Amino acid sequence: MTARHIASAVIIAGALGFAGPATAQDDPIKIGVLLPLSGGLAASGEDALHGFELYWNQAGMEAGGRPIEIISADTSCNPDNAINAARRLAFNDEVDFLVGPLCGHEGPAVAQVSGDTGLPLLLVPAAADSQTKWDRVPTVVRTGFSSSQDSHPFGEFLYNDLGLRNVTFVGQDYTYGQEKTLGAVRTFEALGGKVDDIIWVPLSATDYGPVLASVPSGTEAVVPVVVGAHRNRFFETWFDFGYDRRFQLVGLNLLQADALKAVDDRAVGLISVAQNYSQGIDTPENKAFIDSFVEAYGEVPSYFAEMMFTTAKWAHQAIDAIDGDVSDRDAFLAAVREAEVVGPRGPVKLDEYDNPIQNTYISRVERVDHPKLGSVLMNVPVKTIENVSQFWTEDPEAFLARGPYQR
Amino acid sequence: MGRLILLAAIALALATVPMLGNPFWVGLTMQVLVFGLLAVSVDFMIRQVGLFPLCNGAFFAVAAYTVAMLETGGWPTVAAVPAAIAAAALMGMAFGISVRTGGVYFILITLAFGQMALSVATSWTALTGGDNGITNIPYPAVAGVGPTDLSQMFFVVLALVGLMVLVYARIITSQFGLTLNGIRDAETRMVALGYRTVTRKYVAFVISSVFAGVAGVLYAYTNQFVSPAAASLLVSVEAGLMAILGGSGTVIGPFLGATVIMGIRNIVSAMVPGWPILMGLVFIAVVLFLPRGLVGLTGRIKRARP
Repeated sequence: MTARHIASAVIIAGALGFAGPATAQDDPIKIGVLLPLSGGLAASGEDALHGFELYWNQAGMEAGGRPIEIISADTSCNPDNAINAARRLAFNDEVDFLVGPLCGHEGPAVAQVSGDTGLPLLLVPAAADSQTKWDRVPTVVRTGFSSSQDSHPFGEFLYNDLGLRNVTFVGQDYTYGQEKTLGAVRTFEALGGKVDDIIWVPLSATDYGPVLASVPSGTEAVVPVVVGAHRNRFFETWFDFGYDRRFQLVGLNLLQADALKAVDDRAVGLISVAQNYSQGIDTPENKAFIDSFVEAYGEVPSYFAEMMFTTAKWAHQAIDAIDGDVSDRDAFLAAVREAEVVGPRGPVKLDEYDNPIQNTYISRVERVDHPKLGSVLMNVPVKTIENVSQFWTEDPEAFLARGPYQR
Repeated sequence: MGRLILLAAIALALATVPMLGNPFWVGLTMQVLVFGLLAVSVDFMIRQVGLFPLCNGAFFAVAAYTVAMLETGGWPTVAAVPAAIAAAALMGMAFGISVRTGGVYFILITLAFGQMALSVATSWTALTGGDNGITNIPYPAVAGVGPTDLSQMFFVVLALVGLMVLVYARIITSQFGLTLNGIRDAETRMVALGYRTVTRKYVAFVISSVFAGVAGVLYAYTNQFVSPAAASLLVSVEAGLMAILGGSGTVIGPFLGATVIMGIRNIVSAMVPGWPILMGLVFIAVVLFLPRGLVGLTGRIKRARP
C-alpha cells in the first residue's frame, strides 16, 4: 500500500517535472509573472497584473509572430514563496522569461533564480536600489524604477521651486522608506537646505499622533515618505490634529492613486508624490491607457499597473526585434537593453546599469471630471523632470563608491 | 525499532527527490525539511512543556543572519555555523526569562521578543541589509569540501535534519523529557517532589532555541539569502500550526504539517485562486475532527478496520 503510494507520487511528480519540450515558432511564448495575489498586497498585485494583461490584450496576445501565454504565480509578498514560485515557472511551466516581483525583499530571491537558471528577469515593480547598483545580476534588467531615483530631483524641488530651507522628513523605517527619504535629504542638503529632523516610523506603527507631536516647531514643512495603510493614517492624523495650520505638507510618498480613494477634498492642492508616473500626464499615450484601463477594470490604474503595462510593451518591442526567438536569451536581453519605449509614463530607456532613464513627475492632487468615473481626485503633474537617471547628476562611480542609503 | 525503520524509509524515499532533476521539487522539499525542523522546535515547547512560544522565528532568524553575515564576510563554515547556533542559544538564554510566566502571558511576552527581533532586522539596514536582506550566501564547505548545487545541498539538509530528529527523539524520551511532561501536567506536584521546575523549563526553552537555530542555519544555506521575512511573526505562528496540523507530540507530525502548508502555498496556490481560504478550511477541519492532527488519522484508520 505504502510502496504503491510512493511509486504513484513519484510518477505524478515526474510527470509534472518533465512537461514536454517546446520552442517551435508557432508555440506560444510563455511569460512568467510573479506578483502577490494573496495577502496584504493582493490588491496591488492584481492591479499590476491587470496592467500587464491589458497591454497584451490590446496587442492581440501576440508578438514576434508567436502567441503570448501569461502564467502568473502568487508570491504573497514572501521571499520564500517567491523563490519557489520562480522555480516552478522556470522548471515546471518552462517559461521563456520572468516578470516581477512587487515587494522589495522578493527582488533578491527572484533575481537569484534568474542568475542560477539564466532565465531573463524583467525586474518590476520591486525598487530596491541595490539591484541596479551594488548587487546586479547579469540576467536581470529593471523596467520599473529605483527607490531613490525620483527623490533626487524632489530634494532640489523642495529648495528651488518651493523655496523651503528648513524641513522635517517622516520616513518609513525599512529599505524602501530609507532609500526614498535619504535620496531627497542628500540633494536638499547639497543645495544648502537644513533638515531639522528625520523621524523614522516603523512599519508596525499604528498611531501618528506621537510621531507628528515630535516635529520640531521651527520647521517650515513636513515631508512624509510613508507606505500602504500608513499613508491614510498619516493624512487623517495630520488634519485631525490641526497640523495643516502649523506646517506646510509636501508629500514625497504620500498619496498614490489607490490611497486617494480613501481621502476627501482636504487633499486637493497637496503635493502628493514624486514618482515615474502620474495619472494626470497629458499625453495621448497616457489618456488612451487611462481610458482603456477604466473601461476594462472600472478604476484608475495605479503606478504598478502602468509599470507592468509599459513592461509588456517593452517586452513586445524586444520580442519583435528578435523575430520571436526568445530561446536565444542573450539576444532577448540585448534587445530589451537596446529598446526605446514610449509608455504612458513617457519615454524610457535603460542606462548602462540596467535601470530605466525616465521622467520624474511631482504630482499634486486635483479634483477632475472623468467621463466614465465622474468627479474624482487625481494626481496631476506640477513639475516634470525629464530623463532622470538613477544616479541623478552624479558620476555613477562616485555614487556607487558612496554606498547605499541606509541608517 | 519500528519507528526507526519508518524514519529510515522516509529518509530513503526523500533521497529520491533530487533524481527528478527538477530544482523546484528539490527546493520545496528542502524548505519542508527546514521549516519542519523549526516546527519541531516549537512543538517541543507546546507538547512537552505546555507553552506556546511566538519567538522561535527570532532564533531562526538570528542564526540565519549570523551565518549570512559571517559567510559573506569571508568566515569559514566551521566557524560560522557554531557561531550562528551560539547566537540562537544566547538569544534563547535572554528570552528564556519568559518561562517565569505561563499561559497567555508567556505567549504575549514571547510575541514581544519576536517583534523586537523583526524590528532590528527591518530597520537596522547597515547591519542586516534591511528589506533587501543579505544575498549571495555560499554553500557550506568544510576544508574545501561541500555541496556545489541544489541537489547536493539537499542531501546535507536531509542528513542534518535526520540527525536532529534522532537527537530530538532521544531528548523527549529521556528522564529530563519526562520531567517536563510532569511539569506540564502538574507543576505544583513537581515542585512538591523537589524539582526546580522553572530551571527545567528554562533549559527546555534554550534547547528549543538551539533547534530553531539549526533550522535557521540550514535555511540560510539553502535559500542563499536572508531577509526580514525569516523573523516575521508568520514564521513563528506557522511553525506552531504545522506542528498542530501534523500531530503535536510526534516526531513526524511537524514535518507532515510542513508538507501540507508548504504544499498548499506552493502547489495548490497555482491552481486555486482563493487558496488562503482553503488553508483556513483545512486548519478548521483538522482542529475540529482530528484533534491529534494528521498523524491521528492513522490511528483512526486502524480502529475503523476490523
